[in-house]
Amino acid sequence: MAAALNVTSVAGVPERVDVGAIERELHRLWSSLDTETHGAGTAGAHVTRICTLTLLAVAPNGHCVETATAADRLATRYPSRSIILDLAPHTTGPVPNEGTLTVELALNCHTPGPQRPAVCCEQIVVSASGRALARVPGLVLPLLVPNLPVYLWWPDDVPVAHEPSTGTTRPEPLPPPEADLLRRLAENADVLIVDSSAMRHPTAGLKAASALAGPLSGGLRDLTWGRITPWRDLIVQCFDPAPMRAALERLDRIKIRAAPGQSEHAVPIAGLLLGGWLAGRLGWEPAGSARRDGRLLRALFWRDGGGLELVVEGGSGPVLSFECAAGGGEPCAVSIARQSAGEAAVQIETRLGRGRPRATAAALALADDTVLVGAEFEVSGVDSVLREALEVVLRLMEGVS
Amino acid sequence: MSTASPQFALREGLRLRRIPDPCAVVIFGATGDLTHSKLMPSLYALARLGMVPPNLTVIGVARRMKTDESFRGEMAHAILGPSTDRDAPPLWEAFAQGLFYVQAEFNDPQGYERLRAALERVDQERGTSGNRLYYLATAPEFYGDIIQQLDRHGLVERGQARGGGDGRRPWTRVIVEKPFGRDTKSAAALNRTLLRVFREGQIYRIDHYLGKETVQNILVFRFANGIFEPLWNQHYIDHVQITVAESGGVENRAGYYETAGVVRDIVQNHMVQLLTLVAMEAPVAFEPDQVRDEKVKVLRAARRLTPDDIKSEVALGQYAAGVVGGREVPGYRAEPRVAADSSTPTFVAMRLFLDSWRWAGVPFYLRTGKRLPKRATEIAVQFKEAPLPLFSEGGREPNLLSLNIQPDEGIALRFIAKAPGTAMSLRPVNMGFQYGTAFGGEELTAYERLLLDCMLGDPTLFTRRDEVEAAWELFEPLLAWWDKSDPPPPVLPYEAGTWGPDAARAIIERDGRRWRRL
Repeated sequence: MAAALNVTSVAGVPERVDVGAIERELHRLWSSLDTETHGAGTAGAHVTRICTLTLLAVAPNGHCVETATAADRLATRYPSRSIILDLAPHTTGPVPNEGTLTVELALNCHTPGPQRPAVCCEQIVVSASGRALARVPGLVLPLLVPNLPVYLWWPDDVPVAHEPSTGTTRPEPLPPPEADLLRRLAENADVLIVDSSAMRHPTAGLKAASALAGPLSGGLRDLTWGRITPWRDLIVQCFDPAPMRAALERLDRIKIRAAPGQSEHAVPIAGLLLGGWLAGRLGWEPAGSARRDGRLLRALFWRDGGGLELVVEGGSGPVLSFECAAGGGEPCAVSIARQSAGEAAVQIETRLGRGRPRATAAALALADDTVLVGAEFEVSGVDSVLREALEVVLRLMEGVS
Repeated sequence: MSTASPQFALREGLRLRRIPDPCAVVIFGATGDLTHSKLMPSLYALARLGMVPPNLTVIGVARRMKTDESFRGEMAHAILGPSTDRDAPPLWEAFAQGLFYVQAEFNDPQGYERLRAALERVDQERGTSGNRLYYLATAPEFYGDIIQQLDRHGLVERGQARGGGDGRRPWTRVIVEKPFGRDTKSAAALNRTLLRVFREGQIYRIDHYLGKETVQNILVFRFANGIFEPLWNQHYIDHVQITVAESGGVENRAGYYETAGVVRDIVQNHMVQLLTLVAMEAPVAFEPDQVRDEKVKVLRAARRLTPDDIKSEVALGQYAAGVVGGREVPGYRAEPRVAADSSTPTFVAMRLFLDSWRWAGVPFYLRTGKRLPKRATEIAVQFKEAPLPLFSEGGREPNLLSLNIQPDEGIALRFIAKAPGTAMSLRPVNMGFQYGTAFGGEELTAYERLLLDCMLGDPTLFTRRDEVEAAWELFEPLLAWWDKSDPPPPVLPYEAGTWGPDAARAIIERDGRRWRRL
């Protein structure tokens, strides 16, 4: 775990933040750290300065400490300069309607192992409120480390432009300063990371995020997609044997169950993305939009030689189970289920033909957001499979509230 | 997007590597140290990481009587430790259900009938689809019997030039542990035995050094960066030093080590791998055969040592009592199961040349030994000095690039900088990259990586037939000299905890160079 060797705060006075002061203060911190370690006279206690990326993380309202801690944890594995944006658009500062802008700097150091030099990473926390939000991009953009990728992590709702003509199905408009801030930050990032499960209106949010991330070299990433990646791995494994692979082409029923999440009535985005992935990869064509059936979302697809139904049950929480079945000459069924939401393993049952079902268990890690963000650092380029799945989901959810 | 093979459409974009086909791993020598300490823990680690299919099945074969249950209990103890026997995690329970044991003498046909029945049963019950990975973790003298018996009992899928794995027919692969022979003749004989039953694409000769991330990184460092390769030749490089230093002694391997010695144990395999990776030309593609073709060319370019050369180019040593890490340790001859008059070398230093355009005239100094002051494996590439000394104060240290394989995996470049002040005073400084700090996190161990590669049918990090034979040929004169000289050639004693006998220093110092201080 990282241990802060030195923490300081500069430019705490509203309206007086300038980038030169931040860079000078960072330089002073590095120098003082050098003096501290050399002064201590501990052999081998040198400090290593490594930076592989810039993480630009927007803290969800009131969760700045958690976000800073997550960034610090990430830095132990992916040394980086992290810039945490603690934004309060509606808060007024000492000067009414003007808001405040403050910056805190820290060097967080950790020792990767015994006899290893400490690795230190810079963390910059920018707190802005009210109208000062508009000044955040101008402050932050010069602080991005040149020639290294910039990951913009926007963990909350993505601001969506209000479109009055589309009626009441659209999400509420968010304050313009936040939307403008996201746009300006995204323009200077390489990757935009969101979490559709945390959005009140995930399909609209993903659509907006996808548009913003379109020009970026690393495109859009979604932590919800990261959560279903191990499910995708397991599903592929189940269909590895040749007879099972043949059954994949005859699937006629898929049922995905998700945890309630924030609300049972929320869009079950994780389950939809999992279904969208299969549909996109296997070339199934949506036969119109999905429809609500109580707690279920039902969607029909056309595939070569017939149709199939996708049923997604639950809310915006993580996927709990996946079941599918194929009819035809040799019936096939696959079931993968977590016994409880907190268990890091799943039970798998496969049945082919009239034989006995085969049951086993497999690891299925429960990754927290920090791990999921870290996983995104390891992927280069645009995730075209996510884009394909998302297109299917957006088609299915057109007109569905 | 529908494709002819939906499986591959689904695999695209997955972040985990491709998962191997369901298979049965058959370990011959299942009660041995290697199985307990490396193979089973590696297979379980892969299962925990979700990198192998949930129905992975392991069948242990050995001579001792055991039941499936007692084998599972032993493996639980080896992997989870004694305290977790009764409180095993659910994943272990699922993994353990895939462990089976077959008792067999390695030359007993009935044992192979039992093995065949066990394999058929797991194919039915666990869906292993006829895919087999045989791991020869026995003493080498049993390899021939095992291979013949597997063939006689129809347990090998024949004729798979590329190791199978096309999804249409079951595959069979075999991993052969080192030592792969003890000289060119025996290695060639073992290759013939294997090739009577398996195709080359089915044979995976393991050298765990190649499973190390830092060893693989040598290729990436050289061929994914544009700035080093133009300098990587006799025009700019003065010499290369390769060191594999062990602080430990012979420990419980004396029986083997007495007949092998340091050249067979370390030089012919591990050091040869480091030498070939650092010296090879760029392959035309990062494909198994293209990479291995280039490695073989290095071995063919290596200048053979004549009996006269051996006296001047090689120093052999054997550790005497001394102090390592503050602890008094006995000499080699006082170790259990070592002959009191043993002449087995535990240290070697040598100078090699590669007769190729790239390396003409560049010496490669190799040294390895037991009971040296510290454990360290490193390749150091020393560049030539700047052509004209412009600065009078210091700054004559040549640039040096060190590739640290273990324990501090990383890369360091030494260059000259001006020390702050009014004087033009120059100092060498190191610019370092360390794996543990730059990437952090856990990586697969060498055995985990290599087992996974074999299950996936990727032989890039395994040794090919011609490679292993060429490596033996290179050291044949040295081995023959040591094996056949009567009286035995001089093996110089060195105090444990030192960097080998004085003769090792002489080999490099007569060229006006010195060994790196590690």
